[in-house]
Amino acid sequence: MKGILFTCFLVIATTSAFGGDVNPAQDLNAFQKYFSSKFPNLPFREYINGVYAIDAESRSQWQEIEEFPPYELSISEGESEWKKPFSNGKTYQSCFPWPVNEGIRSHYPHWDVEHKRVVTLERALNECREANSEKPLEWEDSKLVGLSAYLAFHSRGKAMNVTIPNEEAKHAYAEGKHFFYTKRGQLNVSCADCHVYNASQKIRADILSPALGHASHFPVYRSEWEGIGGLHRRFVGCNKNVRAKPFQEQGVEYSNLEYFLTYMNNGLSFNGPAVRK
Amino acid sequence: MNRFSLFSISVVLLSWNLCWAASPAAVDNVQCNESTFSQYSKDADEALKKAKDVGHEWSETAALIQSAKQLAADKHFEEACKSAHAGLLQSRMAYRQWEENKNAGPRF
Repeated sequence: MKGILFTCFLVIATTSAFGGDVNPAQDLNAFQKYFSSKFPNLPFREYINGVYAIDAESRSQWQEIEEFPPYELSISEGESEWKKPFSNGKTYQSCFPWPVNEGIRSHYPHWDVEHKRVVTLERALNECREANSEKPLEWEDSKLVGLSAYLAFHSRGKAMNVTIPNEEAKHAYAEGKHFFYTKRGQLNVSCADCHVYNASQKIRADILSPALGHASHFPVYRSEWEGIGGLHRRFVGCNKNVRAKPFQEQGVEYSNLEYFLTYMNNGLSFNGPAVRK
Repeated sequence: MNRFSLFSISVVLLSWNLCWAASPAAVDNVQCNESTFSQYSKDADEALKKAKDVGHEWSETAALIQSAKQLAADKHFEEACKSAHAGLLQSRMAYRQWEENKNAGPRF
């Protein structure tokens, strides 16, 4: 009897913690509907521009910066790296079934059925190196960020269409969702507190961007960084801002978060690399 | 036993529990020495590990506990106990934060 009760407890605990009742399609609908109610005059396609979609003054500054985009050098570096053969003579292209101009970026993140995990573009690029007997790069190595920028640039306009193919993928999605809504750090703030409920409000001198559109434009050149970086670097920064100890870039926590966040952006188009404050 | 008595007993028990839970706050009233610090440090380390294991460690806590150990090594036990105690409380709050967010989800 005790065994049965314990099993029941475990089932209930597991399903409630990791969303046995998670319905991604329903979540997506509610998430996007929330933003369309919050910003009724904002066209859906504009969310990919973050703060620049909701604040006219910031937008005009951004448009001026975009006349000479600071991420161009990174795209060039990425292009050279992409075309440079590995020591075995192969290139990165050998690891991807899609040509560059068909939008490799738009296939990530995705659920890897064989390895049962979320694969991000950066992870796929590093695994490609390892498969070709090259050392993996640091996650924020300019070569890797450059490759990501190059591929993102050639994926502009492609729609985000993350799929959740099975229960294991759904579990990863549920973990990403849970992370997004969980309060963290000494400031006791969740991702959603800032970027859902308080999107468009000011936090000191900055305007909080809406979470809808967040995954569309990475890597980004940030004035604060004085350089270009990926989405996971941004996650690290956000966690540090709320005084929570950040997780490893490309680790399971942030990869699942990226999976959830990109799924919430389904229907929008990729527009990276981009410029942000 | 009438309702008022039951209520009074409950309030007393609850207050006692709260005092017990917050007992390390008595750091200000305790003479801090090597042995007291050692206990605080051990408690802080354990609490931090607990918060870390559930992925809710706060960014400054480990450094705070580390600085407490350095202060103790330099024989500044009063300050060392205060830092270790702060680290202990932070870790407990971080763990509690995890408990309170077990079912976190959208509010719309």
